[in-house]
Amino acid sequence: MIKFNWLAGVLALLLFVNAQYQGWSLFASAAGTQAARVAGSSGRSFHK
Amino acid sequence: MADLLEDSSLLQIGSEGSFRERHFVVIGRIQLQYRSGLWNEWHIVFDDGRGAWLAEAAGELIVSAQVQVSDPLPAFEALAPAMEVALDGRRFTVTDLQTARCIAGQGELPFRVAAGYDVNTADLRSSDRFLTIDYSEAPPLVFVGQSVTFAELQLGKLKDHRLAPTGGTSPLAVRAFNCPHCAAPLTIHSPAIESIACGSCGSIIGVGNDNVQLLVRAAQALRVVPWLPLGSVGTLAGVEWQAIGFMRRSTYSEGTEYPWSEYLLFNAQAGFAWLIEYQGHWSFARTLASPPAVSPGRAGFRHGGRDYRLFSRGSAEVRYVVGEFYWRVAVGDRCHVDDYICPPLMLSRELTAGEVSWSQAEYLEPGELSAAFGVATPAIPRVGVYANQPNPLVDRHRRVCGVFWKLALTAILVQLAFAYLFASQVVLKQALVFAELDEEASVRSQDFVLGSRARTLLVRHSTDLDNNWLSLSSTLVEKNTGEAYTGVQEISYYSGSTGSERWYEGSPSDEMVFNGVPAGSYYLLVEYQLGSDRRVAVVDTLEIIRNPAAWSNLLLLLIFLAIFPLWSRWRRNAFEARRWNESDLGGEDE
Repeated sequence: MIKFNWLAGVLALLLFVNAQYQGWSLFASAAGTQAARVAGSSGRSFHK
Repeated sequence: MADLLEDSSLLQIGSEGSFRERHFVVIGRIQLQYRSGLWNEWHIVFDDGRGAWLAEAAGELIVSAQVQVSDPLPAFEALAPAMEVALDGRRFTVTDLQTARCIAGQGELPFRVAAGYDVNTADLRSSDRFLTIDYSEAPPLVFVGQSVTFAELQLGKLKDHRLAPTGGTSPLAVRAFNCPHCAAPLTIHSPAIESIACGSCGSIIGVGNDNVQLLVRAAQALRVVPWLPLGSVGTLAGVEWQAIGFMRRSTYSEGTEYPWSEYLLFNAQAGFAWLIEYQGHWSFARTLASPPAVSPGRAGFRHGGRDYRLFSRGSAEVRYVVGEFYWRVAVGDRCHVDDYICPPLMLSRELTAGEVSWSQAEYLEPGELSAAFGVATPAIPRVGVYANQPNPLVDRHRRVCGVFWKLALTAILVQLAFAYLFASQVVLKQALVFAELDEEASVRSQDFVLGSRARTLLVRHSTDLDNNWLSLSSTLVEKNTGEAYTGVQEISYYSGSTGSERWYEGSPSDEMVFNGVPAGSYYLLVEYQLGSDRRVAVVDTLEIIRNPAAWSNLLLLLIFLAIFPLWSRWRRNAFEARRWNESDLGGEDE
C-alpha cells in the first residue's frame, strides 16, 4: 500500500504542478478560447 | 531442632557470591515449610561483617537485610493481597501472606531455632524494593531487599562442584524417579520444583525433598496433548529454555468456557518463564519482580513508560496439568485474573486469598516460536485478534501519514511558488461604473501590457450590486492585431429578510479566466446590461490578474492525498475494534 500511495501521490502532485502551470481549474469559469479579429481596433474603441 | 529436609538447592554453607559488588559467604540457613512446599533462607555475611539473608523460594532469589522502620506496622490479620501499605514514605503492595513453620536451622544463625517455631510472614513489593515483615517476634521484624538472578550473584562453592557453572553453562541438576502410581519415569529439573503431574496416569506428585509424595492419584478427567512437547528446548530472548510443565486453564463468561494453555519454561540461571497460547496466539511471559501498584478494579495505569488498559477480568481455573511446577499445583485451583494490555505487552495480575503475582507477557509470532523450538508440527491456526497482538496497521498508518505530510508539504511549497514567485501579478485594477440604462451599453478599460504569453488571465468583477442582476459580455482585445477573446458572465445578488431571518442569494462578485493569451497590448471591452429590479448605478472594481494560482487545485490535491491516511486509519481502527470486541470492558477511545 505504501508503494501505491507513493506512486499515486507523486502522480497526483505532477498533475497538480502541470495544472497550476497550465492554469487549469475545475471551478473557474473559462472564457471562450476562440479568438476573433476585431477590425480597426488599433487605438480605437470597439463598438458592436 | 529437627533435621533439615534435603532439597536440591545448589547452595550450601560455605558457598560464596557477590551482591552489589560486595563479596559474601553463606554461613547458615533456616528452612521453612508452608502449604505449598519449602523455602530456604540462607544467612550470609559480607566481608565487612554485616549480615543479610538470601531467600530461595519458587525459583526466585531475594537478598534482604533487617531494617528499622519508624512507621507503625500493620497487623498480619489486617493485611490482604494487593493491599497498599505505606512505610517510611514508600508505598508497597502486599504480594504474599504465608503462615509457615521454621522446621530446621543449620550453621551460624542470629537466633536459636530450637524445636522450630511458627511464623506469619508478609511479602510486599514496590517498583524497586522487596520487603518482608516477619511476625515471629514483637514488634515484627522488617527486612528490605531486592530480587536478583542466579547469574547476578556470581555464586561459587556450590553443593556439587561438578554441576557448578563453568564456561557459561547452566548448573542443571536433574533428578529422576518413577511415578509412585504408574511407575512412569519422571524428572525434576530445578530445586524449586514442588509438584509434578504425571503425563501417563495423571497423578500429581508432591516434591519437597528426596521422598516424593503422591498428592492426587490419577484423578484428571481431562487429557490434553501439549502442542509443544515437554522437554522441548528453544531459545527465546537470548535464553535457552526447556518446556517442563503444561497447564490448561479456563475462564468462563456468560456460560461459555474460554480455555488456554500455559507452558512452564525453565532455565537454570534465568529461572522460570511461561509460554501462553490462546486460539493460536502466543505470548512469552515472566513474573514481575517489581510489580505495579494497582488497586483492584482500576481501568488503567502507567508502568515502565507505557499506558496499560484493563482488557479482561475474571476467574481462571486449572483444568489439566502435566509436568513440573514450582508450587503445589492442583486441578481446580482458582484465582482472579486481571489482564491489562499495551500491545505487544500484557500485564496480568493473579490474585488468590494469600497471594498476588504479576506477570508480563509479550506477544510472539507463531512462526518465531516454531523456529525457536524447532517444532515441525503445523502451527495452531490463529483465530481473531488477541488482546496483546500488535496492530500491524499502526506502523503502516504512521508511514502513510508520513507520505501524506511529505507530499502535502511539497504541494503547498509548489502552490506558494506559483502564487508568489512565478509571476502571479495584477496587471490592471480599475473602477468601472455601470449606469442604470434600459438598454445594453459598453465600458472600455484602460490599456494594459502583457510582456509575455500569459498562461491564464483572470478577470474579476467585484461590484456593489444589491437586489439586481448584471449581464456582462467581456471582450479582451489586442490593440495592434485586433485579436479578441470573449467571455460572458452573469452576476446577480439578492438579499432580504423573512420574519427575523436574513437571506442571501447569489454573489456581487464573479471571476472569469482567459487561457493562453499571447503577449501584447490589451484592453477589455465590457458590454453590460443592468437589470431593472433596482435602478441604481453599479460600481465595479475590475481586476485583471496574470497567471493566478488556482487554490482550488491545491484543495483537490490535498483531498486526494488525504484519502490514503483516512483509509489506513479506518483499517487500523477496525483492527482495534476486533481486539476490543473480545473484551467485556470497553473499547477504543478514538
